[in-house]
Amino acid sequence: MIRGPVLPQMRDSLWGLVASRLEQIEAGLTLVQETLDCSDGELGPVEGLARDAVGGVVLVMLATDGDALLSARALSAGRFLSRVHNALPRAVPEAKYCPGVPARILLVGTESTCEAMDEVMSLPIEGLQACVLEPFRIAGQERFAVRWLHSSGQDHEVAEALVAGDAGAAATSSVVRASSSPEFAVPPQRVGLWEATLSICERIDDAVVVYGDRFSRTIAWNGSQLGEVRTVGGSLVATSATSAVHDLRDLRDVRRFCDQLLRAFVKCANLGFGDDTESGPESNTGRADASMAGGDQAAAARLAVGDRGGLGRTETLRASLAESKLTPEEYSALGDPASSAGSKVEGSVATDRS
Amino acid sequence: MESDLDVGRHERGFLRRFLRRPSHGQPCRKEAIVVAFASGKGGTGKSFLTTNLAIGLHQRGLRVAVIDCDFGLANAHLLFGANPRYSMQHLLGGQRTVHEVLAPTPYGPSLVAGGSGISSLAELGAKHMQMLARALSQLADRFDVLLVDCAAGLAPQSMITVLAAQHVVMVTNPEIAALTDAYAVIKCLSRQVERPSVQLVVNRATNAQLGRATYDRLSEVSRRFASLPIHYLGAVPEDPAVSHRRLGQAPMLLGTPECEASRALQGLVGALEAKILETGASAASRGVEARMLTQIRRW
Repeated sequence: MIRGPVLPQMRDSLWGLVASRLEQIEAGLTLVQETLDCSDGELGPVEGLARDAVGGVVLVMLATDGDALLSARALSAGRFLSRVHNALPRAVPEAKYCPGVPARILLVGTESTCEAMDEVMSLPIEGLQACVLEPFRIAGQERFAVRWLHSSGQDHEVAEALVAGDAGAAATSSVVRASSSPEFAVPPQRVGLWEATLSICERIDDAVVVYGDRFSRTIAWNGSQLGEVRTVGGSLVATSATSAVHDLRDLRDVRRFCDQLLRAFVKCANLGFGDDTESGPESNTGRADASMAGGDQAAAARLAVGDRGGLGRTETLRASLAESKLTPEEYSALGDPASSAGSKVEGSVATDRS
Repeated sequence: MESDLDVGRHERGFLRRFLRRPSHGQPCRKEAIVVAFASGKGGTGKSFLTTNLAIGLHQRGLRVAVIDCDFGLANAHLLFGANPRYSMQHLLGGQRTVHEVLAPTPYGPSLVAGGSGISSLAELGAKHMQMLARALSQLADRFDVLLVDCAAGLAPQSMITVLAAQHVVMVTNPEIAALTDAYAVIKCLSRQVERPSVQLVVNRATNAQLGRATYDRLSEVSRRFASLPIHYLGAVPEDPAVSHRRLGQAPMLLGTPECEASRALQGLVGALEAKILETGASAASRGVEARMLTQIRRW
């Protein structure tokens, strides 16, 4: 008998899997605490208390086979949230919740619990979202895809495509879109910038698609990622295929980011920007190779929040020079080259750390 | 959404211009390859390397000119043992043409001396830099390689010169101060759309292992934080024969060809020549004057 990939059904095993991959379910979702009891022990605890990318409270619940109390637990969690979610930022300060951001309940289940989850989805619980983990095996490794459930019971596509913006233009655009994807939670003051970005994406090529989850959008062309935009707190942080990170604050930032999108597109489409050889003069397309080689994107993102991170096409030379000040992380990383050359290195003046 | 449409037009215009660039097969004007020698910190050995690599490239049959752009602290003419009548001061003052300022040296390469009349980089304005761009363009028509000895640090005038080159040889020492300053220059380069490829030379390395380790560290940090790949040209070992040299002696490569530092210099000459030849075979880029004027406009 050939046995396919099966997700663990035992609550603890499934929770171990989910808790370690919250980021895969939704960009920026992080676990704050496990086991939140919001029903005085009568119905059992909610599996996790999490924080989303914009600082909202998220209760993560699991749906497992034979859980007769699932609906009751969900209702209880919903009531709990409606009562106290405004007080949670103060009650759980380590989570750094953002007051005023709507709270949600995220119900995670498997194929075998779809029916029970549909029942829960039909209940009047504010902020309830549900997704199903679909396991599959590739090259001997087990992975899972996230399939979102509608309240009506309809499934979302795994990689939903969405382009927001002008409704009239949407009807004629050839960029792939799907109306059923989770709405991108763009900070209100950045909506115009996001629409400007989409407007440019539409014009790059007909095959450019924009898809993602509640807090992130991936911009891709024929399967090649050109860039990504994420909601981080109240900011819109864009990462190009070259790992350059842009905090989108005005149209200049949008242009810089889209400049990188175009370059990535030209590179992917082999449209002639091929003089980026090791020996020749380099342009920023060279960064794509660097990112393919595994740049530290997380570090880049950390640096870029608060750093405009733009490239020198539009900024002045003096501005470039001013932005070249080293960060503490860079100082730390530069460290002491003699230490990596081994203890046999003699006479090095690398000890001069002044 | 008119502003959004403007953004789109802007970017599409860029794309159209971008796609109209000449392909590699199309003929282009033959112009010298420009190599800038830069560093973040002073005293790392830029002039020493510039003069010796110039001699090495000349020995290999290339027409080489050295332009000493270390304004105010120029000393390439001393290392060449030359005493030119005119210098950069006369060129930028408009008193002499670049052909009049260009002087032969006893060891082959030609030299545009930096001069001592220019007290600081800050005195050079856009007009001076435009004159320098024009001069470089004129020299580029006569030579195969222009080696530009730049001033240390992050002065805009220095960066303009670096950005006009196709290659920048970043000279550093293994010490942490030189390393961080070199990275600051690399970080600035990484923010530029059009920039030279960066070749690292570690000078005064106590052994080859330390030279490679210094490169590995800088390369990793550049890749990780600045997303800019840098390439390793080589290391020059710490050698008493270098520090004990006096004025009037022949440059290292010719004076003591058997010493360890000279052998390392010969290796660097070979590596740099390979880069230059590769660039010459593949480049269809704009001229040095155009590249420099672009940077001057951004100043």
